[in-house]
Amino acid sequence: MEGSNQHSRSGPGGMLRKARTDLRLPVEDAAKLLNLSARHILAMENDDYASLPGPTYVRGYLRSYAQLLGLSPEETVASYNKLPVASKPVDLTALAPKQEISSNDRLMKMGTLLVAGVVIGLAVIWWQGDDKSPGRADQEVAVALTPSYQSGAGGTIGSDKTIDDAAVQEFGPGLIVETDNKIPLLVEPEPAIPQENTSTMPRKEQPPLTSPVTAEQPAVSSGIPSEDTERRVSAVRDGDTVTSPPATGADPGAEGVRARLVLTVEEDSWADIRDARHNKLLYETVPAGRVVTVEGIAPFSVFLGNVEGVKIEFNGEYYDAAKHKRGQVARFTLGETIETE
Amino acid sequence: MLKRFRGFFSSDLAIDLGTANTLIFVRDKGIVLNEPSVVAIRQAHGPRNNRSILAVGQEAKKMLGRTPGSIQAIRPMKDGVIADFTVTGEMLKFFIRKVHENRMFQPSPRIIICVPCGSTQVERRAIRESAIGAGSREVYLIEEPMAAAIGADLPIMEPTGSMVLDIGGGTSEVGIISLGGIVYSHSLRIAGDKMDEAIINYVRRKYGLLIGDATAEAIKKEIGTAWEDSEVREMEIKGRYIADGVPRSQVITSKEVNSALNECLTGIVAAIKTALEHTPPELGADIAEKGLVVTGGGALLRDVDRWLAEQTGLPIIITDDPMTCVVCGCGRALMEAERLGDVFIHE
Repeated sequence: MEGSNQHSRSGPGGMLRKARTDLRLPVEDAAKLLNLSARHILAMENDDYASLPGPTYVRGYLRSYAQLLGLSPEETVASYNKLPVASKPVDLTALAPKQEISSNDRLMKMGTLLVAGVVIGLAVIWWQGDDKSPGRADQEVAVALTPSYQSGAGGTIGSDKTIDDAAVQEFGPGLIVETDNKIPLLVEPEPAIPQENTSTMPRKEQPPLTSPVTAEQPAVSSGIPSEDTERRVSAVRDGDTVTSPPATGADPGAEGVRARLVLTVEEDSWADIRDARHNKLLYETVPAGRVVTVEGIAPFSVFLGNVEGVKIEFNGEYYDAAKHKRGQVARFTLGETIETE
Repeated sequence: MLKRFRGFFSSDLAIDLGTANTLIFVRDKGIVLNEPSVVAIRQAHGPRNNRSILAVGQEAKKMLGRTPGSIQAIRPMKDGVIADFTVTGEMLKFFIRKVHENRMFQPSPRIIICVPCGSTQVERRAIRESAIGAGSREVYLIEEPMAAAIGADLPIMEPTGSMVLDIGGGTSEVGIISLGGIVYSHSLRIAGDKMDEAIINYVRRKYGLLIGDATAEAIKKEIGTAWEDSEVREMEIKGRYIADGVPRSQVITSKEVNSALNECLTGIVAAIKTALEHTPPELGADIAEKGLVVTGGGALLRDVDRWLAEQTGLPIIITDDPMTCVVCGCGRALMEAERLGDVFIHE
């Protein structure tokens, strides 16, 4: 029994060899009769089917060989079929083109959604980051500019919501205040307000934050105090003083030293003056004959046009800007030494 | 849209629409139908002259040559192609319904049909239209040598030549395949039907006896041999004697049948030799080393392998089940239709 099992495992090779030797048939003659090579005959007799073309061919060879030797072809093939090598199907897809992934493919859909999600997420992060960082700066600016509102109207101003772009734009063009709805409002000039009043402006003088925007009260709905805006603008118009108010509650030492800059404009010029915190103290065209005083935290970053027509006085001392002249303009920083001191 | 909906309730089919037999392979089920390609039609009398299908397949085959004037038993396929378009469509519809008999909806399957490699565009289109007319929603065509090679489990995707001979009912197909494509193929209209015809002619010529197609086929199957040195067998046949019109019996030997078939077999051998002549030398060497694989009903002819081996000098391999080899190949192509796009015929 064991022997027969072993025989069935080893294939029909032994049986074929025995039959051939019994017939005293040389391998070459058998090969010639079957139109096969001697290598094929020996491979079959040794059950070395790996060196033969494939199961279909092997079955055909075995059938012919068994017939030649007077054995039962069916039994011989059945003996071969029991071997694992006989049941191995031919791979038809070896050369088949790789299946193209279509847009309907689940993996493709998930991948697309994932990529879209990542892109949208990145866009949102970018948008928020872009939105927040200026927002914080605005808040700081607003806080710096509205010391009295921090405590007075804190209930409505304290949040980020009250500090918006409109408030920032107010200090850009100088004379134009843009509201939330992007309608520029011309600010009427008012008498200059002394510098001392700016930091200690009483709360009662401030218009209500929720008051409507009018020509007389050009407060923006963003909550930036309209008086302060008016004061700044009018100061420029009347050739008086522009100040950068100190941050309330902040350590004066940490904020820097306050300085004063006086521009005596003899010819039409333009100026872009910023304080140590990059607040725009002056940013506009200044007509000839004006004297503009700017106060703020040193050092000042000054960028002047038609520099020859402007005389500069910094903290009471004349400053020659000609050395910084490049063409018609000059860019320099004032008060750095003070700050370092 | 409706066809697609019905497709949910249909099984994909592979059909060997042969001249003699139609075989249907159903995905996940195997061969579910093997019927003769014969249709019996009743011709109604009256003003409308309506024709109706009386029987299809085995039943209709029994009627062949035994029908009254009102019934016509016909074989709608001839020489591997459609001879009667309408009847072929009806036959296909009948077979498709038969394999979907338990379904509530009218089936609308995807179908792969094999066609002779020598068929013309018109003949292929006729087969395709016929299948669409029978309700299929998609039709793929595959050449018979390719289907036979796939069915025989030949290593067609390897860079080695594989030669296959499919001796069917209407046509014999010779194909040489390498790397998943047909390098050379030839279709000749010498096959089972021509062999039957040769036997009929031989018996009439030698014995003056008229026999029918069915008797000729029985002779071929029972004692027919391709090799003249085969063991001699005898068979008693009955037919109508030409001289007096009286039915008589006659004993015929396998040697006689062999000589009757000789002309057909020589034609097939000539086709094999022509194919080998047209084969690139490297592939020819592969074929000489491995041999020629024979499929189709003709492969069941006794000692056909010995005859072919003697005539061609090639090792001859008869597949395990030659009759179903082509439809099995179609079936395997059906199961891997999405990945085996190259093996189908693209018009």
